Amino acid sequence: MKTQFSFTRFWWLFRKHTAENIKYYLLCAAVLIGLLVLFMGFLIMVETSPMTTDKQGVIYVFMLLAAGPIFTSTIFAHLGDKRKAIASLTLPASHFEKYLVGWIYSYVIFQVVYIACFFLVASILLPLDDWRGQEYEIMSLYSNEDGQITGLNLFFFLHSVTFLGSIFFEKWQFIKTAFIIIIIGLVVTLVNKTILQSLLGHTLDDAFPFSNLYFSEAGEYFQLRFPEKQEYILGLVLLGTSLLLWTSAYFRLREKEV
Amino acid sequence: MIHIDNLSFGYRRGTLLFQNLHLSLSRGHIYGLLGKNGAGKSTLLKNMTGLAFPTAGTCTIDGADASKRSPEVLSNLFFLPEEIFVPSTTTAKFVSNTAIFYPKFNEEEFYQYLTEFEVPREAVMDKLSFGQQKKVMIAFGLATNTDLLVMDEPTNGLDIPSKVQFRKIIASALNEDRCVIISTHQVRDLDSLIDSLVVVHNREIVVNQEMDSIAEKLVFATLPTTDGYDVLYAEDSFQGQNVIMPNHEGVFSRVDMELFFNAIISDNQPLLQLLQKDKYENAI
Repeated sequence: MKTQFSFTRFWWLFRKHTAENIKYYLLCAAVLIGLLVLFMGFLIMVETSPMTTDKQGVIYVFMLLAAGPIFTSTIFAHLGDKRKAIASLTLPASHFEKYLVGWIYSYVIFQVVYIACFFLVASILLPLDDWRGQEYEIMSLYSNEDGQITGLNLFFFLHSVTFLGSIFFEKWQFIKTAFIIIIIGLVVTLVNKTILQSLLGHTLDDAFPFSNLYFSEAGEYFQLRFPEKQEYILGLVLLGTSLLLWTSAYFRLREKEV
Repeated sequence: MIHIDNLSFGYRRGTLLFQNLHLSLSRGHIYGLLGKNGAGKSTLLKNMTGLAFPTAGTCTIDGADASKRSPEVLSNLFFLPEEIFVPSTTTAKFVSNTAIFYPKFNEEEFYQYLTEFEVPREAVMDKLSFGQQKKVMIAFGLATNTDLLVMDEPTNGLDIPSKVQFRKIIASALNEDRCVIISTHQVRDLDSLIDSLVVVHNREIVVNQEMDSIAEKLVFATLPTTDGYDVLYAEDSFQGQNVIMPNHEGVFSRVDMELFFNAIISDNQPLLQLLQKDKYENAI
């Protein structure tokens, strides 16, 4: 077991990774803050109504789903460079420890830094907005009223996809992963509708994967819903897919050759 | 220490680079790995260090499968590739963050090697010239005191005084527990350094012999003419003909590695048969 994981060795690796990449990560955080300031500041200036929590939620989710996958795509990009790959793969630590450092930085630390940056920018810019005499309001982190939790769940999934992409592709990791997602998304959407139509023997109006079915019959519009009590199964599908992709990323790292 | 058994390797779209390779390398030796450009020297080293996986056969380091890249094996192995990567930190920080992974690392030795190579101690590594970076990594690799030290073209980028220093340091760093493998196409850089020679040619290991053994079997000489001599291989030179002959009389001569290498890659069958004579006799 110690061959696979040693806490001491993991700590050395984490420390080494941090020391060698800290400048890059600080620069990334600065760029993120800059983009949040630009995006939020621009909307505050052009919008006549105050930036309410629902608008903040849109910015929060949009920036999370844009910045997160881009950052994740870079986490194992060094393995695409032979010189860096040799230094990394021959370093005396297990594949699991190397994997875990990448995972923690791209998933856990990224989200902590992202949330901190978002609320820092929001707490500076929102008081500058015209709230028409009202007390300014900052979106809550722990509620899903403005899509915050949905955003985190979507990032959970997108992280697993881009994490695998960062190991799988040797260069242009983000572009190639995005391309693959779009192609698979299109194919699944088209195939899903065709298969469901042949299963039900009925023309469907809408049948997006992992969602409800919509069809018309005798002038009436019907919705076929997943049983409410079993909706958690859809969440499990997402969780299972992400776990599968994370596992694939680990095995891809183990099989990495230079 | 390293055992390669029936190893075949090929890149996905290409033909096999090696086929049914067998090789055993032991502690207490400095091996010179020679081969023409594209013969697969670097690929062989990558197979040995677990950076490339054989398509058939095995490569083990002290009995452990190299391709598993286990931390125990890696902590006793240092690989210096031809093109190195150095982080944007000072040598001191690099040592404090990296040396800890190598249980036998000796910091005092590292700084001593740096002094011998005339590399500044507090330099930011990626701001150094390529040659200086290489010297830092050679010093680091030696100071790890790993039992297996593999270097791919280590003298590329080094100036002449540094090459001399390199030979001196490597020779002093060898002990009976250590196996050093140096791959190069600059045969002269390994002069009076290596004690065993491995030559890769035509997808095979055609030579794996100690230098003393080569000297016992062959005579290297310069003759005005080859007439009347039992010459295995000859090359023109200013002094006449540089030749390789069978050593029937047990005469000692210094192995001219460049001449020997040229003879091997010209597929000189009598010479190869003579070198492999012992192997066949032992097999019988």
